[in-house]
Amino acid sequence: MSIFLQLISASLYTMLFQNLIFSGGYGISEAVRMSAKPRQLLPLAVFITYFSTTVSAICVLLDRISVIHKTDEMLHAVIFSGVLSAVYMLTMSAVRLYGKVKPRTIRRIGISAFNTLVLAVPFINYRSAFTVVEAIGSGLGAGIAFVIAVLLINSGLKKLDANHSVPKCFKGTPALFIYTALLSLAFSGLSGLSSSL
Amino acid sequence: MSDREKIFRRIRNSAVIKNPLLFEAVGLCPVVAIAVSLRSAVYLAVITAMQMIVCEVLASGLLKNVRRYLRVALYFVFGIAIIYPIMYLTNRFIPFVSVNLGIYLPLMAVNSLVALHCERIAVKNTVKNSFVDAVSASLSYGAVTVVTGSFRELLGNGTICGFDIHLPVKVSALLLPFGGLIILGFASAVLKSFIVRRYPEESPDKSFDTSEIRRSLRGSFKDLMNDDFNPYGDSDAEVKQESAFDLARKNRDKKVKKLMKPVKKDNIKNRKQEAKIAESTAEKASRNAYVSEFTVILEELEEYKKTYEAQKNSETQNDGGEEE
Repeated sequence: MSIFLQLISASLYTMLFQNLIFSGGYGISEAVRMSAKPRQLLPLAVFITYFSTTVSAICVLLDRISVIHKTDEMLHAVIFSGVLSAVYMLTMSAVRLYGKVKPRTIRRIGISAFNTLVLAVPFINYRSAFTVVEAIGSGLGAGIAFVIAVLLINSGLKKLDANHSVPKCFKGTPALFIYTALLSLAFSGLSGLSSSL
Repeated sequence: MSDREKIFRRIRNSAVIKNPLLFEAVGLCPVVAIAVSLRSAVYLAVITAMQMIVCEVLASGLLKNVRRYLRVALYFVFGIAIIYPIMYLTNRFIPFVSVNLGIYLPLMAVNSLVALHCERIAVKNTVKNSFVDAVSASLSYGAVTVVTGSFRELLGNGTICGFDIHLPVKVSALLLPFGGLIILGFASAVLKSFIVRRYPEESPDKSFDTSEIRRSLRGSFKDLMNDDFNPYGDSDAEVKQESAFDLARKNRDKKVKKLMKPVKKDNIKNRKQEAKIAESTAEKASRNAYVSEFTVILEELEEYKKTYEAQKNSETQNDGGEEE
């Protein structure tokens, strides 16, 4: 039961109280760009959750090795990057073994693997000294945070697009940035000013 | 259009009309999170410029024939190779900057701006054009970053480059990602109104396609995976036009490759026979392809002959008219 609670609390913390996208700005480009293409949400969310959870769990497990644990943050960064690259290459090899891969699938996997959101999760786990279960929860939370961000931005984008009283020079990305800024302020309220700075 | 005009147009497009930060919403994370002061903004702009130029030049020079899935991983490796030595030097010599940048500095190795420009422009253009694009995109990115950083420092901290301005009111919330996004929103509106006045034929809205926002996000996973996905967009690459000769050669090679594929069967006799048949059919196919190439050449020669004769006739008519 305690394992389940740990998992839930870590994922809730990552997706709500410290929403990585709105409060930290991680992966915000991908969220903003994908909000204009809602059909891409589910495949990307699945891939992002897979990468963030796998990389996060592997990095925490590696950190249990005393030689790695004793190294500084700089070397940890190198290890995290190496793990991400290895997971990406293994995933691509597995997908290519399964059959002929379409270019759009390769693009999706590439964007899902190499973004700031996925790489940020192991750093946050390391700084927060998360356990393996908490790390898995944090990886899952990152994926769900991405879904929440895209859905929220997409609903705002639809309303802004239909609103004809928006000044012409604010139509498009300017209004979208301001709307996202307000969402970000709201989520910062949940995480608190000092913790985000 | 002269070369100089072409370069100017390229710079204008990637720096102003398709501004990566303000209109394409790419590379937002570092600006929103760490451009909270003029000093950190300048630092960020310099690192991004270095990363952009090196990655685009390398991608254009070396990665054109590398498979896409490997290319994406290699951009990350190049990013690591550039960012981590900088991170080490920053930690060692300017630790206060390193503390400000936090975990965002290693995260810059996965900058979406670099991947987008490498895939969209570098791998489809010459090294020179990729260099021009990298310089213009990183200059525009740097300019927006510095403006954002200065405003956030001034209004959020009441200082500029560390010097206290003694502002009566400070808006500390501007130091949060909220501040970065709101300043980017206003900067985007200002640049958009400038483009509408200066270049009325251009539309910055094209950079951020909103035609699909109302599409349903529901559907089976298979259907959603089958939807087209091209985040790198259409390129303005100088792709070489294939001539009829090249196409004929390509078709011939394809046929030969297809026929020469090894047959997967356990029976050795059958395999040998099939190999023989494959060889003979491949020979036939290559012969046919050569014949088709030859006919294409003959047709082209005929066309040249006709145009030459037509030119000659017109010249003789002109000469006759002048003599008369």
